[in-house]
Order: sequence, then C-alpha cells, then structure tokens
Amino acid sequence: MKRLDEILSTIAELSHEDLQSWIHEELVRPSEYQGTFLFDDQEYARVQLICTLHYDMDVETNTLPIVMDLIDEVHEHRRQLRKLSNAILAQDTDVRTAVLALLTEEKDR
Amino acid sequence: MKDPYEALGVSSSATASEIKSAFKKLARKLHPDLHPDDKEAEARFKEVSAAYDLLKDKEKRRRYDAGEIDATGAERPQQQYYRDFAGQEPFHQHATQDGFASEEELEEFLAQAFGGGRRGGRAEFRARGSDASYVLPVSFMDAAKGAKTAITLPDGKSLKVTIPEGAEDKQMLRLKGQGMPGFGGGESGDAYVELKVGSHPFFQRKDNNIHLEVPVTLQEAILGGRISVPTINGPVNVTIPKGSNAGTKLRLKEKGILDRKSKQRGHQYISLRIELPKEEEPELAAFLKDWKPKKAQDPRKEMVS
Repeated sequence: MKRLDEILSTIAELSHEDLQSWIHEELVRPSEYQGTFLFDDQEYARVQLICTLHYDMDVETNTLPIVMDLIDEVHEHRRQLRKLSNAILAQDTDVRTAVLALLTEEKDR
Repeated sequence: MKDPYEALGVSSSATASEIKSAFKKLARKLHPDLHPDDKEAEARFKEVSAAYDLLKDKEKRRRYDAGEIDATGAERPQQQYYRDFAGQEPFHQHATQDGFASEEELEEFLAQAFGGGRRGGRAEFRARGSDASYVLPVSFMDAAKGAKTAITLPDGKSLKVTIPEGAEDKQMLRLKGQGMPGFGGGESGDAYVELKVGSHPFFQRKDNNIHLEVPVTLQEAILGGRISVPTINGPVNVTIPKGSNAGTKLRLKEKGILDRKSKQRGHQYISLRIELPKEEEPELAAFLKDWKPKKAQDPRKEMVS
C-alpha cells in the first residue's frame, strides 16, 4: 500500500492536481483512509500506466478515460478468454482436440 | 545495457522533441499494457523506457554524453505493469488446485488455438528507423555544376552525396534508407541533407542567372574589342561594342545555371566597369588637357540645377 504523497514523490512528473482529477473521474480508485488515499499495487500500476500515457505519449486529458476504458475492456476479454480456455482444457481429450480442430480450421479459412 | 540513442533509434544530436516522438512511436508498439500478450515486446519496452528516462532528463543526458554516467544508471526499478493485475482471475493462486490448467498448459493451448506461439499471434515487432538530418556546406561552383561528395557521420561512417547540377541554397536532398537502422528487420529511415551553398568571389547568382561585374580598360571601353570573360563553365570570348559606357550590361545567352525542372539554362549578365590606368600616364593626361570634345557634355546636368 502506498499513500498519495508517497506516489507523488515516487513519480517525478505527476502533479497533485492531475492525480486528484484522475481520482475524481474514477480513472483510479484508491481506498480512502484517514483523510488520505491509499493505493494498492494494482492501483499504483494503473497510475504509472496513466502517467506514461499522459506525460510521455501525449494522450490528452479528455481522451484518457476512453483509452483506459478500452484497455480495461481488453483485459476483461483476456480474462474471459483464459477462463474459456481453462474450461476447454478441463474437458476430455477428444473434446479438446475437436475444439482445437475447429479453431484452427477457422484460422486457416 | 544498450546505447540509449540506439535503443530509441535516434541520432546523438536528436532534439528533445525528436527523442520524445521516437519514444512515443515505440511505446505505442511495445508497452506491455497496450500489448499484454506480447512477451518479446516487454523486454524491448524495458530497454526503450530506460533509454527514454535517461535522454528526456537534460542533465542526465548531458552527463551521459560527457561520459560521466553510463546507460545502466537509468535502468528503472522493476516496473509492475497494470496488465499483471488486470488480466488475472481474482483468487488466481487457488485456480490450479480447482482443476484448472497450469499457466504453461494454458499458454500452449492459446498458442495452438490462435497461433503465433507465445506472442499471442501478433506479428513480430518491426519498425522503420528514424530519419536523420544533416546540413552540408557546398561551394558555389559545386552547387552550380553538380558534384559528388561525402558526409562523415558522428559514428565515423561516411555517406555519399551527389549534389545535382544547379542545386540551390537550403535545398533538401533525400537519401533513401540512409537514416537510422530499423528494428526487427524493419527498413532504415531516410537521411535528409540540407545544402548550404557558399558565395563566390566574382559570381553572383539570382535564380538561374549569373551576374558578374567585368572591369575593362579605357581603350576597351572606347575602342571596343574582344575580351575573355569567365563563366561557370570556363572563359568565353565576348565582344565589347565600341563606346561602351561604365555600367553597360551584356547578356551571355545560356551561360548561366541549368534549371533542374525545365532543363533550360539561365543566362550570364555582365556589367562593365571602367578601370583607369593604375600607374601615372603623363601622355594620356597631356592629351586630355588639350583635348576638346566635339560636343561638350555635362553629365551632372540632371543633378545640379
């Protein structure tokens, strides 16, 4: 867990104002604790990602939420794909082979 | 750790904005959060972002250039990517015990099903190298007549440059594929060479015409005659008409510079300047003292009223 001020001192470019507005827009969702914000590893990684997008890659403030939504969506799809794959892998060999055959046939078409 | 300029594919003279745009381009292709299943991209992104961390900081870049620090100083502490959290099942650590496949099995299945091996089906990362720009000083004559020369690059390599006949000041030459090398088999960038054309002691260039002031003697001006006059392609004989005054302009047709587009040659304009004898000429002075012009003239009539 990192406090808001720790995050600000770790990432040189990040301004307090920007971080506040990202929290306000729910681009990041730290937990509130005794009048400050606490970021777990996941939220901290998310702040780092937003910083790279915004400060280094010039993704504008207005566009940030769209980009983050799309990234979240990709991750959600990945998660579902893995879940689905796991479900297939839990089946008997002949089912797995049949699914793989269909999937690769699709690919070659 | 790789040379940071090389990692970003920019030259060591790149401006801050060139460095940023090189990083932006690479980050778009390599950032693990934007390409969560590309394992190779992650290693490359680490290199690229470390290079950028070093070069975007003016002071660090200065110290690196001065040899005070090496590139390893810029390696960031292990960065955690958002994807490492976002892609996982909650309670993932229990998953394998609940009859789920191991990570390896899953990867293998995904690779078989969707192809492309562990990189999740993405084509291997390739990128075109950056363009490089140089300024090349060129003599007046080389620009007028065309020349072959070479630029020595900061890394000691030399770049052959053909200066086209009639090249102009500030003209940009593009040398395809002579810029920075590409990544992963991507093609090299282009080199842009800006010409800086120097001046000439006698010739002056206006577009494709050459202007030249030619000194003549008093006799040549009054009696006329054939004189030798330089052009960019060597001396030519020119007939000075009898009684040519100072400032008389003569045109030497198509003795100027070749126009690159129309293939038409410009002209050379010469303007006469009368040069009196440098040494004392008592006979001339004596003659002029007694000389009575047939028609008296006042050349300043217009000026002094």
